[in-house]
Amino acid sequence: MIVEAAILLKTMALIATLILVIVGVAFGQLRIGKAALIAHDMQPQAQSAIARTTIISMGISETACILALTGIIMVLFKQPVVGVQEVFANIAYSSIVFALGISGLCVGFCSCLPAQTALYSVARQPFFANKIINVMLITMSIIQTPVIFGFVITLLISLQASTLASVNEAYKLCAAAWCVGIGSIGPLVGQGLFAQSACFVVGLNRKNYTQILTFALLSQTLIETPIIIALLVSILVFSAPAVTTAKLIALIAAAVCQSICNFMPGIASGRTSATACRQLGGANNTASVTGVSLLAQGLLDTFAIYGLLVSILLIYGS
Amino acid sequence: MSGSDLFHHEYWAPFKFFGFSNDLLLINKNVVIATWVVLAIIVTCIFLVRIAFRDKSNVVSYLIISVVEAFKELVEQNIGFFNFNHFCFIASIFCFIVLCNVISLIPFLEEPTSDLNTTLALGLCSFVYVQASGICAHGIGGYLKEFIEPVFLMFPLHVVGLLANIVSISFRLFGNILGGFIISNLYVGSLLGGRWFTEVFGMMSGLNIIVTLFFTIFEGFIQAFVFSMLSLTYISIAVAPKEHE
Repeated sequence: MIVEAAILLKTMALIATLILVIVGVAFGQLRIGKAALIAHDMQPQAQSAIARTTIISMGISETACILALTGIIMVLFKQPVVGVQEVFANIAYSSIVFALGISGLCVGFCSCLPAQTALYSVARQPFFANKIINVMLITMSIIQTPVIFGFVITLLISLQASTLASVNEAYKLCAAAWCVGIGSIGPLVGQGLFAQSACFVVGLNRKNYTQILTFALLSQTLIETPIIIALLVSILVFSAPAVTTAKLIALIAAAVCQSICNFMPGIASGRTSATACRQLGGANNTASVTGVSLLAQGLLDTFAIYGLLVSILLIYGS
Repeated sequence: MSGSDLFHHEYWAPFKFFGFSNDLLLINKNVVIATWVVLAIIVTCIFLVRIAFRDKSNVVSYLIISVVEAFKELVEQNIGFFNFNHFCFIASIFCFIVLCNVISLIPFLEEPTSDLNTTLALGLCSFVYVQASGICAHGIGGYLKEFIEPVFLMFPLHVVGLLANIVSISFRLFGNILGGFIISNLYVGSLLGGRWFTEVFGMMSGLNIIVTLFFTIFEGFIQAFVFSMLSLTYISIAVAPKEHE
């Protein structure tokens, strides 16, 4: 009876992952297509540049879908384990819904924001399309990072799942997947907002292209810091042994703590740098704007680092 | 098609003769053969181009020159000035990845980039080149100073961020190409596993061409472009002149 329940849980998790990712990516591509039509209406003569931008942005946002599909197929075609270990393995496999499903949904929603504004910018400045596409490509491909991290965690889980000794270990793997999936929502929203304004500004003022690109990479690294910390905590949870139930509860608490701690630093840091990026469009005090924004983002990231401290204490504390 | 077929690799164990039998010493047969085929194609192309350039007024040399000009323009626009080393690095990494991604158009070969070892090696190459060009541009002191900006506490974050760059750049390529490989394999398996009419359906409806076009050629080009553009942008950040100097 319990074996069938575990198989049902795994199947439902796989289906839910596929549905979540498809909803996210399809919504994103819908918005991109709509923006392409509006941009074409604004500037019919730029149709080749607009078509190029649309194809590249859709191709990049497809990444989330392909990675999720690969993860699902890898789990489906794993060699089945017999006996009570099958239950543990299936519980561990069902954590794919956090690692790939949730992050794929958010990546789909967020990666359409820069593509939309990039299309409007191309319509405004057709002769500058190459550089706008560059900025869009860089920002969009950094937005894809969480789904790649989720894919890494899914690979680790699917390698480990067939050798689990107890149900505690299976729940531990679920906690690791939860940490990397839920912990990337806030930073993703921040990155989407920032990338939107970066693609908007590069269409306004083409002379500031180099500064905007440098600033974009630096601040996306800072916005991304909570995601990297979530991956770190997730790997720590993954490698710590869960011998007793008390230890398991501590590991789950560490994962939940880090993932909740990541929400506000990501969004706040993204909004800060988005506002700073809009300033870069007109002003010529680039150095001071960049410095203040980077300092504020560095301070905002300390909240995620406090979460990391608490999580490490929970993981390695007695 | 069962799961064991999909993830089954054939290995060579050259060190087994000397008594070493670690998993790390195994060599994936398909990846090595396909990579050597890619290198052979590149070398052959170089010799053919030399022959084509004897007469500069033909179509082939015009095409080659326009491709090289496009790469040169790309490097110039991103870095701000032209540097022959950066141009060579970006152009060769792009050509190698594109050929690796589309090598499965040749029968019996698999993409080397659907193996993690290849993409991780490419990511490490790009990482080392970026750091080396950063050191060359600013010197050791200026290079190390970037790690402690804006405050000293950011040092571990900068280091972890750099390492995460390697992971994200190599897993992006690996995941996309592996996804295309698995989907094409499943598609081929479902065609060959059925009756004769599934094969005819695949050929007549054009579905074969669509699958190949999208998952092999389009994805291959997009991912190679993304990889080289990301490397180029990292280089341009590393060698950019500092404002207060």
